[in-house]
Amino acid sequence: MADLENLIASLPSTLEAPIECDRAIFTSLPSPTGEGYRLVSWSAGVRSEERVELTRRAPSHDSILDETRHGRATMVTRLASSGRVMVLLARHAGEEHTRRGGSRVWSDILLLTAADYARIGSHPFPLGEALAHEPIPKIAARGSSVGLGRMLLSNRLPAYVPALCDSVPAERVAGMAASLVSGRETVAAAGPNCAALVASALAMLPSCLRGHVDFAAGLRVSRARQVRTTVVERLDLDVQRATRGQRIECLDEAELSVGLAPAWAPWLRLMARWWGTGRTELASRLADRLSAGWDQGAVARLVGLCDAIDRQEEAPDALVSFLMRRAAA
Amino acid sequence: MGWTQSYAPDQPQVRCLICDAPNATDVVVCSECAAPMALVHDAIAQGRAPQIISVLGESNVGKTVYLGFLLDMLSQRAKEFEAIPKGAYSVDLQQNVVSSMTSRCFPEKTAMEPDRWHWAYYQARKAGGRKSKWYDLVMPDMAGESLAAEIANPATYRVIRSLLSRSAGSLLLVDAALAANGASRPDFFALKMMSYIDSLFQGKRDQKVQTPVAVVLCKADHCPESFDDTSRFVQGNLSRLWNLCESRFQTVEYFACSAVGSLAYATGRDEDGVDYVRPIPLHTSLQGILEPFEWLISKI
Repeated sequence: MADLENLIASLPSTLEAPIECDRAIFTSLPSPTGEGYRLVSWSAGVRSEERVELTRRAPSHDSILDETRHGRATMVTRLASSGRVMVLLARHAGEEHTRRGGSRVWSDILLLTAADYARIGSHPFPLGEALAHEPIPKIAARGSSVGLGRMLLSNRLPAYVPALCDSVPAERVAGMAASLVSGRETVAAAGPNCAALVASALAMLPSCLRGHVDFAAGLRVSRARQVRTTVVERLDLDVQRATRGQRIECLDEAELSVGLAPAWAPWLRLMARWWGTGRTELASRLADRLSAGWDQGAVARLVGLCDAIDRQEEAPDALVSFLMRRAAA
Repeated sequence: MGWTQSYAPDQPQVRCLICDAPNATDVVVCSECAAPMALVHDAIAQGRAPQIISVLGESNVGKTVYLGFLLDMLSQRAKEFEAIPKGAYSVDLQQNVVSSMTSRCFPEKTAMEPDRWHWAYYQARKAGGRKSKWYDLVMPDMAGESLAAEIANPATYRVIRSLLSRSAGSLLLVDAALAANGASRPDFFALKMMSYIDSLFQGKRDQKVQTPVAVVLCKADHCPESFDDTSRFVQGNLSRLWNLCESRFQTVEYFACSAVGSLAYATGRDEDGVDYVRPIPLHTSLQGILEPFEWLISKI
């Protein structure tokens, strides 16, 4: 199977030219004209209506579920005002500046068009990695905001390698992936480190499908997020209160299964099987390859071919040939 | 229905008290503005619509502490007021404030998301036998940043617009300590807030806004002269606010208040190596908490 991995990896990359995306930072900082949570900095391409929507939807104080200093949260959604994809990466950034308790939530926000998001595989991980290598913006603790420059994403973004493959059952990751594409408004419990579980679940989905997923992982449930899927650590009283009567499906960990998205169940079962047998990287690379132009029918045919290869009824070359014919078409 | 889908008209519905949005009968919070639907159910049970009192002010001015202590005083029959909380949710705020202050720390910052605000629904009346009138009061504890965002870009938070449009009266909290030290920020925020309220009613140039507004100078223990002649203090230190109130508002009164008796400052270094100074309320000494509310009630 290592040959198959190498063959898939050798297929040409779709990301040819660098991508520019807009940035914004939402956090709590004092300044001469005001203090508290607001957009403290943004690049020139962020429109005023986008800034209003970001202010309304971004997480404020005490929003990250993991209260330790390493707590992280991720949110990916489409802005209603402009249609651009918002990738929000939230973390703790020291203590809240008025020292009333609790950590300050710092949200790095990246905005890019749906086409550009698809070009990087519709996964927030590469953006997070790229952001980690950006210089820290010079926003003085008591100074006015400094305009951010746009961020350039190179054409050599790192591929996402799922980190949970050993510690979390593949079926649970597949179930989470199914909940992301079920089409229903859902609050799903994923236990601790839920943001990492969602990242892994995204890696299981075909790249063509990821662009339609909007979610918030690791954030407290709030209708302010306006996302279809909210992933939390557990279904507590806050979740029950927020969702009661709203026709929102609440799923605990045991209820996550591929049956939540029957149309994609064969693909997710294939992914779960490959993850469970140590072929995580192969699965991720194959999922990344299924970008624009792949519909449910084509993916179903691909699943049939992969199953046949696993049963040794077909040679591994058949998969590469199939992928290359699709790419040429 | 969910948060991103529109409401299905064939389902039985209840209209939100704040934003008038239709909701299913079994929802806990409004799907549009996140106000507790218990407000509606309690109002129906009372047979009368409650009156909304908005507590306004910028971030860190002390809205949560003020409102928490006000509600606690009312529920303890301070100054012959009789007040009854309608629903257990109404007690959350005062419990949070009292327990925090008892532990010598200020309550945590209020989150910007409307579904994380505290709402209080109280029935209150001034003692005076059976003839004294009962008031049904709804008082949300809003985040200062949300108010600032709404002022900067109206319709950012529609719930705030709805609340202020329907308010029977407002308590505008201003940081007297900052103003007394020469900072212009409290004056500018108050000016913007009052301008926003003025714009909601869009009266003619010679028509003043009728909604009563109590301007409450918080942290007045830092500037005791504000207790002696509050109007003069506002005129001297918050002149922009003063001028707008005189020009555009019919019913305005100025009050000074304080909740903290003495304040200490703890210094140290946090996990990131940053030096910090943390204010610690050593004990509470409530002054002027009830008077603005008493005045507002008399004007409603």
